[in-house]
Amino acid sequence: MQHTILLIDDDPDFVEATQLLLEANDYRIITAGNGQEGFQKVKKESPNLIILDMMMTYKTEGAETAKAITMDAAVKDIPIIMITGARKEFSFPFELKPNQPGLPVKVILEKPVDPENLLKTVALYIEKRGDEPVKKQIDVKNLINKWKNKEGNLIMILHELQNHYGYIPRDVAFNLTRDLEIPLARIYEVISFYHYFQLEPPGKHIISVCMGTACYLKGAPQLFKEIKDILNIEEGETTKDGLFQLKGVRCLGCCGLAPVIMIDDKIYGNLKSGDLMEIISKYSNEAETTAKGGAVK
Amino acid sequence: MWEYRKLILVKDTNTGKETSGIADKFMFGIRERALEEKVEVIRAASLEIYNQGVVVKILPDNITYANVTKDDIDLIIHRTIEKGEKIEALLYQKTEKQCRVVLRNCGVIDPENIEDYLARDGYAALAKILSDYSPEDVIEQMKESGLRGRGGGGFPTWMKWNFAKAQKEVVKYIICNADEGDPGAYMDRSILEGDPHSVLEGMIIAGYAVGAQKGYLYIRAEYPLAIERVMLALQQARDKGLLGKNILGTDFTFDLDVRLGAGAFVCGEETALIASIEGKRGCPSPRPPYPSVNGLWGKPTVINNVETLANIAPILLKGGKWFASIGTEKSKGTKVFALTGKVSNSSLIEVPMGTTLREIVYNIGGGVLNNRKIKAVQTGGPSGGVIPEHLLDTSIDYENLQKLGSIMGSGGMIVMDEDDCMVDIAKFYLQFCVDESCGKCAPCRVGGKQMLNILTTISEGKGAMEDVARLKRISRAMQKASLCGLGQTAPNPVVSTLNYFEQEYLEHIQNKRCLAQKCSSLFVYEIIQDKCKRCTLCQRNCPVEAIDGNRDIGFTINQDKCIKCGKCFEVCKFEAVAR
Repeated sequence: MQHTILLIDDDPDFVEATQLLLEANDYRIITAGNGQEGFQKVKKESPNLIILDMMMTYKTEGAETAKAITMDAAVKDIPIIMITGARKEFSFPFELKPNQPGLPVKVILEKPVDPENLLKTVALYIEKRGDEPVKKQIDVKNLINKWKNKEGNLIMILHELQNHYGYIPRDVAFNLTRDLEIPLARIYEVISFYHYFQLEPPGKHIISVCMGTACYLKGAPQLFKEIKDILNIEEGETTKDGLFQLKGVRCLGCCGLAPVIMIDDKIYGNLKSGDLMEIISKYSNEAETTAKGGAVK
Repeated sequence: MWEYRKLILVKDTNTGKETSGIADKFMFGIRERALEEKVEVIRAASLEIYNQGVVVKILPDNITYANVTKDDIDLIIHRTIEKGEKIEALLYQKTEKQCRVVLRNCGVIDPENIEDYLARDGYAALAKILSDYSPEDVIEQMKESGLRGRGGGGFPTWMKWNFAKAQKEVVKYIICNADEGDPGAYMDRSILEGDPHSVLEGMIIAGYAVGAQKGYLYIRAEYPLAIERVMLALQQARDKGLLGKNILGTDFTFDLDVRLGAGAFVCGEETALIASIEGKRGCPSPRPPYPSVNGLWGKPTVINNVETLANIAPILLKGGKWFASIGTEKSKGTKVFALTGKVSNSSLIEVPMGTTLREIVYNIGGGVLNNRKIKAVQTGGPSGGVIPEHLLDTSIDYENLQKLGSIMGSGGMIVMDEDDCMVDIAKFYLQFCVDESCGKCAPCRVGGKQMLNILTTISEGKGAMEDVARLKRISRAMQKASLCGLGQTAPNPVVSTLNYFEQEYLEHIQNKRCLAQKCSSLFVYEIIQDKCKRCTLCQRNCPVEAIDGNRDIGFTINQDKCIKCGKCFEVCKFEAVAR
C-alpha cells in the first residue's frame, strides 16, 4: 500500500524535485508552503512521515512547527525528517541536533540532499513504524535453537513464541514441526490443552476479569456482565476494532482488592458497578487519538 | 552485615504496586539531609498489611505508619528518623500475634539481593548440613520435625525424601511445585516474590538428602514477577557457589532450572506436573508407581510445594525438635493462609497449627466486613469444603479439617457472610473443576459435568427432590473412581455444603427461593405500590413488555412474561421495585 508523506518547504523548486523523486518511488505526496499550513495538513491528513524545512518565513519556523506537531497528542508519533541548508547559520538559539526538546525531529539532512540518501532515510522511518517481518523470522530461529537440545522443551518454546507474537500463528507452528521434528498434532494438543496459549492474535488491550473466589463473592460476575455489555463481546472474544480482548481469569492474586480487573498490566481494584465505563473509555479515547495520528494500516 | 543504622520499608498496600513516588521522595529527603550513610530506603514486597494506603515501616525501631501521603514524608524524616519520636497520628494499629517461620523474610529483605538473605542466616542451614550432616541425618531431622506437605495432601515430607533416597537410580530430581492454581490463594506467589532464596535453599538441601543432581521450579506463567525474581536468585546463588558444581567447596553438585506452567490447574497434581515439565499435556497418570520411584523421565523424583520448601532451612538450622514444638500433636509448625472474602483485613497470615478459625477471622482478620453475620469459612479451594459458623472453634490441623469435610489445601481461606448462597458457591467451585478437568478419566469428566447440570437446575428453581440424592451418589462415584486428586476432591464443595446447608438446597428446590439473593433466576420482581411514583421508567425499559398498567392505575409485573433480567430493578430511582 501507499504511504503518505507531507512535504513542508517554502522553496517551490525543491518541493517539485523532491515530489517527483518520491512519487517515482511509490509514495503519495502532499505539500505545504509554510509551517502553519503544514501543521494544519498534518492534523487533517495524518501522513506517515513529515519532511520539514528549517528556515521558511522566519528562521526557526521549522523548529517551531516540529515542536507544535510533537506537542499534539494526536500526531506526536509521526516521524519528522528535517532538511536544512542552514549549515552556515550559527545564530540559532539551539544546537542543530536531532532528538532534542528544542528540535524534536528524527534526523537532520543537509541541503543539497543526496536523492539516494533521502530515499533510504524515508524508507527507514516508514519501515520502523510498520511490521518488520524479516527480522522476526530470524529471532524465532534463535529462540528455538536456544531450547532445541533440552529435554521437554516444547512448552518453553511455545512460551517464547507467544511472548514474541502475542499468540501462536499457524505457520509458525508448522515451521516448528520441521525444526523439532515432532508431528503437528503433538504441538496442537499441547497448545489447545493449556489455557495460556492463544491461537488468535490478541486485542490491543487485554482486559482480565478476576473470577477468583474472593472476587466472585464481591461481585465479579456482575462486573463481567457489565463489561460484556459495554464492549458487546463474550468472554475470550476481541472487539471488532481489535482494541479490547476480554478474558475471565482464575485469580490475579490481589484478593485484598476484590473485585479486581486488570487491563494489560494495570490493576483496577475495589470496583463498583459504574466504574467500568470510565476506565474503559480512557483506553478507547486514547486509541482514537492515536488512530487520528495516522497509524500505518 | 548490618551496616545501616535505620531501614525504611515502603509499600503501597492498596495496589500492591511499586511506590516509586513515595520511595523516591524518601530517598531524596534522606539525601537532602545527608543521611544516606545511615538510612536505607527499601521497596518492600509485603508488609503483611493490606488496604492501608502507603505503609512505611522503620527498622530497627519497628515503627509502622499507615496511609502515608507525600506530605508526611518530611515530617517522618524529621521527627522519626532524626529525633526518634513516634508520630501518633500516623501509627498503624496492629491487633494480633502471628508466628512467622515461612514468611520470616518476606517484606523484611530485598528479595533481589542475596546479601540481604545471607544477613538473615540465609544458606547457613545449607553450610551446616554440608559440613556436619550426612543425608541420613538430614532426613532424621526432618522426621523429628514432623513437617508435612503444605500443598494440600499433608504427606510427611521426610517419607517422600526417604522413598526417593532409597532408590538405586543414579539420576534423581527435585521439583518445586509453584503452580499455585487455587482461586483466592497467593501464598506461594508471595514467598517466591518476597524470599526466593529460601525456596532455593530448601531445594538444594532436599537434593543433598535424596542424592539428586538437578531440580526444577515449575512456576505459573501468570506470575511474571515471581519468575523474574527466581531467575535472578538462581543467578546470584550460582555466582556465590551455592548452586552448580562443588557447592561450597564440597563434592556435592546440584543445579536448578525454571519451567513455566501454562494455565492448567490440574498441573498442580504431581503426575500431571511431571508430564507438563516433560513438555506434554498435563494429564495425570495412575499411582503407584509414585514419583519418588518413577517420576520425571522415569527417574525418582521428589515434588514439594513452595511453602514446604521454605520451611526446610529453619528446621535444619534450629533443629527438628524446635519445629516440632510449634503446632499440634500431629500437625507441626505453622501454616500460611490467604485470608480473603468478606473479612475486614484481607491478608496473608501465618499462624501456628492449632489456631482456631474464630481466632483467625476475628482476631487477625478483624471480623466480618461491614459487621455482618458470618455464615461459613471455606478452606482448601475447589478441593475443600465449607466450615459453618458453629464449628469455627475447631483448631486447625490436617485431621480436624478432614473430619469436618474440608481439607487444609494449599491455604486459601475464604470468609462468607449471609449474602452468600451455598448452592451458588458449590456451583462456582464445581464449574472451576469442570473447566479444569483434563478429560482423561470418565468419573471426573462426565461426573463433574452432570453434577454441574443438576446444580444449575436447582439454582434456576427447576430442581427436584431426587436431585439431592443424585448429587450425593455422583459425588461418591467421583471420589472413589477418579484417577487423580482433582477428580477425587472436586465434589467436596458440594458434599460439604449439602452436609451443613442442606436446608438451603431444599429452599431452592421446594420453595424456589434463594434467601441470599444470589440465584438470579429465583428472584421475583414486584412493584411496591406505595413507593412507585408512576414515572413509567421501568415499563419503558422492560425488554419483554412484562410490566402492565399505566400512569393512572399504576404498574404491576406480569410474572408469566418476566424474564428476570433485573432491568426494572436497576432503573427504578425510587427503590419501588423489590426482589
